[in-house]
Amino acid sequence: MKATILLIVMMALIMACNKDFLDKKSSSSIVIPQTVSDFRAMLENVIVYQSTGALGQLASDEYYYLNKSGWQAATTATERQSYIWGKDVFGGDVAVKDWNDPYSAIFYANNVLDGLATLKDSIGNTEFNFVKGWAYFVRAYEYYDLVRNFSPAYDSATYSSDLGVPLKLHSGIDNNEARSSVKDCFDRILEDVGASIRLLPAQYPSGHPNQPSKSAAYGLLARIFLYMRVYDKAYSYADSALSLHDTLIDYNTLNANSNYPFANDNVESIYTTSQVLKYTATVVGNNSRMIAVDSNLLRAYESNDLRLNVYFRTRTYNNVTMRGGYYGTGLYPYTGLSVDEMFLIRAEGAARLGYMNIAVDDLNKLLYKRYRTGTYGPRIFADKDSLLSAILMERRKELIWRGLRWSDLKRLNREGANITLTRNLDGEMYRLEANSPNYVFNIPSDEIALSGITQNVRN
Amino acid sequence: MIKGTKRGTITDESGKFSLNVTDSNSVLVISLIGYRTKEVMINDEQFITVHLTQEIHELDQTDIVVNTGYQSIPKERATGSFTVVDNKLFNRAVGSDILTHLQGVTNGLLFDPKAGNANGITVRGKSTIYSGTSPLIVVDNFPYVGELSSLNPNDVESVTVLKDAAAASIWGSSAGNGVIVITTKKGKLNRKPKLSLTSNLTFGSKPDLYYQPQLSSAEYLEVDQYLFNKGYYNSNISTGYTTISPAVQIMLDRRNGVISTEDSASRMATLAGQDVRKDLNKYFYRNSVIQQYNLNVSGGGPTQSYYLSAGYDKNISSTVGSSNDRITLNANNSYNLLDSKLKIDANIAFNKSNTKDYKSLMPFSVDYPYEQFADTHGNALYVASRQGLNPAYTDTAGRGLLQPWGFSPLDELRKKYNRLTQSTTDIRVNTGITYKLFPFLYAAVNYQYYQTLYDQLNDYDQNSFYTRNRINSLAQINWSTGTVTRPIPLGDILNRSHSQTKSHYGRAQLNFDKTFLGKHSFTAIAGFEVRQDKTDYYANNVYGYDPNSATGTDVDYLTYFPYYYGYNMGRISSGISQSYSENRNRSYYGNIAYAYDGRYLLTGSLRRDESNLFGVSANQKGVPLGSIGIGWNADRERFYHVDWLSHLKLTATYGFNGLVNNSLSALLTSSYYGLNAWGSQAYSIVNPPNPSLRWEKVKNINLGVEFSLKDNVLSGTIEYYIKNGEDLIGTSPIAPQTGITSFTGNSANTKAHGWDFQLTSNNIRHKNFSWSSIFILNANKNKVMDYKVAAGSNYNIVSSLISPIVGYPINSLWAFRWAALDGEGNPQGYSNGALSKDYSGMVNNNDSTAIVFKGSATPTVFGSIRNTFRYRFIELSFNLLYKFGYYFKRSSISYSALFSGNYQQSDYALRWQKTDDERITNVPSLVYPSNSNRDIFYNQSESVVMKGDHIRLQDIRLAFDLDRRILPKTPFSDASIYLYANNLGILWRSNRYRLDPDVTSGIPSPRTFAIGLRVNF
Repeated sequence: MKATILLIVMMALIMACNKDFLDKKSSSSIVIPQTVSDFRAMLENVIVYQSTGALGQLASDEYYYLNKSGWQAATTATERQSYIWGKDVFGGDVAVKDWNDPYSAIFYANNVLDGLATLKDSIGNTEFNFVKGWAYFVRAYEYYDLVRNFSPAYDSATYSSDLGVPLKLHSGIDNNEARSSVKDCFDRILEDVGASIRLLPAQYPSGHPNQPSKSAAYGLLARIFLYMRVYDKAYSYADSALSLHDTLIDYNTLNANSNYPFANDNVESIYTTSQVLKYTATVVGNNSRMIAVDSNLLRAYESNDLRLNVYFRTRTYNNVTMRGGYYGTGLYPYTGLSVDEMFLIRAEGAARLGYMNIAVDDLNKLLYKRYRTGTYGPRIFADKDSLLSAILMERRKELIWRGLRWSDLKRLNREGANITLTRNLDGEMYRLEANSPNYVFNIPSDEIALSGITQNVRN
Repeated sequence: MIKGTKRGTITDESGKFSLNVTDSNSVLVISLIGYRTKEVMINDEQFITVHLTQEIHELDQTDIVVNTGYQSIPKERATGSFTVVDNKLFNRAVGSDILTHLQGVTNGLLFDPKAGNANGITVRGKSTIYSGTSPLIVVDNFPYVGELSSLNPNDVESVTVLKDAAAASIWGSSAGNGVIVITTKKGKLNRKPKLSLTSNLTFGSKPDLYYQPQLSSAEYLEVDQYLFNKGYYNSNISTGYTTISPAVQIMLDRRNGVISTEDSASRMATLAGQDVRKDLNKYFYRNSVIQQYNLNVSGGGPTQSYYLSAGYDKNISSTVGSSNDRITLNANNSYNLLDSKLKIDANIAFNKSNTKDYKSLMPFSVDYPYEQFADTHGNALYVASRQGLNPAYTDTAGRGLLQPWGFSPLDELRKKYNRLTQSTTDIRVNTGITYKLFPFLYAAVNYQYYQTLYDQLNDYDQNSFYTRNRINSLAQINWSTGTVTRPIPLGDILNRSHSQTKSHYGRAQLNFDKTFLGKHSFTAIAGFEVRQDKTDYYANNVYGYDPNSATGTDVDYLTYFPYYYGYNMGRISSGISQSYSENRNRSYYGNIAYAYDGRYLLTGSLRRDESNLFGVSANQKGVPLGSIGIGWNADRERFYHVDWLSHLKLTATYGFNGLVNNSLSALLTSSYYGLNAWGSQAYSIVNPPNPSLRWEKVKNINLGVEFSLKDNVLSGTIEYYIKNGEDLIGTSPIAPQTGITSFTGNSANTKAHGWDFQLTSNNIRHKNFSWSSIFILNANKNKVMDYKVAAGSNYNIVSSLISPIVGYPINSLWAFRWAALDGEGNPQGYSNGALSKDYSGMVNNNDSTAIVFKGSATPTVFGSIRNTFRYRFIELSFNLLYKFGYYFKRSSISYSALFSGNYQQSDYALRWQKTDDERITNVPSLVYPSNSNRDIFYNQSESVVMKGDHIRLQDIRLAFDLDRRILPKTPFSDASIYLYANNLGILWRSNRYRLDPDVTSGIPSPRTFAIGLRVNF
């Protein structure tokens, strides 16, 4: 009997002393990322491609509220306050996705970069390079999104003292960064895009427009240099992007009656992102808020312009709102890089640099695909100014609801366009003067409370 | 028994016995429970008569045995802090779950809805901040991972609560929240079969729907009209299909000229006259009935003992359509073999519970205070549910080609269209072998296998609104041919889930017990334990389900289908989900107790736990925890001559318990997110890397005095304890620039101290009449000593139940400073020390002048007073519970919530409405659009803070204990009939709003009345 007991005890001991006993994973739902494809899966997360801010869209002149009661019924205080350019654009709202989500995407990217650094065996292989390039690209893309919303317009006269945003470049969460200057932010952004260009493939694999590519990196540079008003570089990077990807959709082939005229993987997209999922005023498709697309802008579309039907629909109160968008069946606006934007950047750059023919050619190429077949006659321009203003008008018409208008306003006012915005709520008037400090949004109060960084000054 | 042999017998019912005795010098040992054991010489007698004297059973400390789950220790030799709930006390309450039986009678155990765990209990206050707060539950020596509700209280023999380190540290890293050890009934050797039958019936009243304040229908209509006039509903009206309330429909019809002013006024007046609670009370609630039956038989021969029991419970809940039942079977057997050198225990328990519910699956919400579910004849009515679409749209949308689209909750309840069934099956097999190697050394091996199967079926009938709505939503009609395509086919929709937990626990232990030289007694245990729990979970959906053939139809889960209304696209959810979790633990433990002459006690314990805690480096997987204790039985000293204080014992202990948080990891971890919009697999980050993650530790110091006056007139225990938490895991908001908004890690040290008093007073002890009182008082104060992360904004501090701020209790109640309403009904507070209406600033910044600490949010003094009166065979007892020294915020009105439809709020009528109202009310004026920070400011301000102090009459019990003397001619040896009333109500409360401070949301538990019978044969 003693022997039996000893045996049982021994067996129990042997079973449990097995070294692997405690190495068993405690839950199926948890993964410690250890391979390149694990890190790649982190970049496939929605937080990476649905994280561009909406504030610029809410504050811009692409739409208006039908009346004061419609404005009052907006779902968040941010929608109300951003519309009238209030002193506190959030009206007391917290958990601001416009700030938090880009930083979450950056956190993902930093974790990927730090994690990849530990995978010594994979360094240099194609997949490794792709994921690493992707992370650099995301970091640059999101920092640019933050800077255009939360910092003053890029101006080389003041950029060393203008406040940018905190630059977090590592995954550690135990220290907070102060705000870097606008110059340092742009230096970092350009460096990251530069790093990504060397690592990314020329094109994304078909059907995966959320994956960046060399054309996306060039496209991002083109967009950023345009914002910086460095037009020669904007021109040449747009050209580089288009040299890799220049497919335009012929709008004649689209079903303008469809709820969603564009596919999720629409071929014009160079890199797909959408606005943060938060504000009902900006949704496309089924927007039942009391808003309408700016009527002056609507009048600028000619009757043969297919975009009138592809982009817009008329709603219950005879108000015109957005139909679908480049984000396919997504409800939130597309904010990614696309071929049409590149054509317009190259055209604008060319026009400003004096390459009139290139500019006109690009404009015609684009519009040819936007008008009813056989109705578009190539345009001719008398001078650079009329060409430029035509390109800028097409930029508004083509890129409406893409989250680009706000940064264009900041940039064009620095060019001296002197655009003043006005709002009218049943007779209460609000104005936003060119170059107003209210072009820079507040830093959310929880960020200020927890990290103590400097707040922006608004009127 | 013949002394010195293994031979013996037991008597028959009349007490007769016969025994063949060969040696006339033999001595018989006669024993009977409750009587003094007697030895008789036989001396060649053929017949002998033995008279046993009854043992006086006062509350004698030496009788009490405490069970730690690893060993049973006589209380006189223990140094630790234990609360024992014996069988009689445990059975004082009537209820089908174990916790009911512990409430209000267990020293040191607090029942508090804010405890932070499913059972709502804490032992000696909270010792952790964010980890699980549930005490470890041990059933028959092993941790219990199942639902406590599966256990039948009738099978419980006793419960021991381990409170300090000396008592609990043997459970190591699981013991930080205290340990509750439940011991089930066993048979006893040499005992006649004893049959015991228990049955009781408990009736509960309907929940009091009027407890929860709400806007009257007229008031709510007034708000609706106001919002309608402001254009608040225009956006919803504009879609044509979005649901709008019946009142808004009337206003819209009036605006569109569809109905006349008189019509609209009379329809509104009808709505104003309706109160939905009338219908709810009539059709959706009923009195609850709980039936409980239990039969058990126990006994034993000279070498073998048994306990067998069967129980059946049926619970008809106060919600119409919901009921559950439970069957429990137990067989506990024990064998003594090889001259009692070998003892084998084999216990098997089987529990099966079933729940049926025809209401909870319904997309049912009471959206309007004037809602009606039935007409005056009781015919079910359709409702305009917020979960559905506008009836004006659904009535015509399909032109008869779609499934009907209306929703009648009462009809669906009556026809049982939404069928939820849950079943839980538990099997617990617990075996042990104890072998006596030497008279002083035992070796024991225990093994337990536990398995629980849980199945849930949600069957939505094809006639249910849920199913019809799902089918219609994705249906498309080809108007030219009149054909309907339905991506979701006709038939039921079934959601199935299944989970299974299997656990294996093994333990090998040596027990040593020897007294040297008559005075030095040593007891010691040393052991090794392995535990493994694994839970697998699986769920899926079936569409087009036919319950008769149990078959479904294949559907397309990948395509995005357009909705029939609006512009959304949707996929059909497969509901497939599969996961497992697995906990593995390995422990080494030992303890030793030394007693010198029964006077001086010294104890010590040490335990090392290791677990598969995820992503912690190997040396941090294990942690050693231990305790030491000393005790002095002063009354046993030769010099002790204090007659009036017949018993006096002093103890002091020190040690550490631990706490494991399995949800954290030191490494970056991610989880599978699913497929993204382009079909690629995506991961989410779960846990940022935290290389310094450690186990939480709780340092315990306990000083105890145990005493009784002469003849036990007054006896009791007084204990003082200190519980200091180290490296407690905390969650705090952190700056969003880090990429996350809250951080969880070891960040706090806390200090707690408290008192546990228990006094038992035998006020009157007369032959026919007695009166005794038991007074329990627990006091607990804690403070955060160190917190490594920032507390966040004022909103974080005032709104969170746990706001760790150095120098204040873990559960602190903070509020915005209040400075009355201004002349326009706006609430005012302070910012930077000055009067302020900057709500956003006060709420979202961390200006400490805007907030004020009001006190603890959990009771700091609590306990019970229980009086028991006995007149002959009639016993009456009642229990008063009290809680003092804490605060809560009553709910008032938030206009943001009101505008989004929450009418279940108070104070609407008391709001500021005109100049000078600020002199008589603190309730702010209504503003449009609502300002959520203004609402937050008011609802978290001092003006709604109430003292929680209250005294409640928990229960009254009246019992008739009938024994042989009263029941001479019956087959029963004794019987008891009892009446028990529970949740009787609050006798005194500090707040003047008649609020129950223990009910944080919803409705207090209704009163219940039970009648029961227990007979023993």
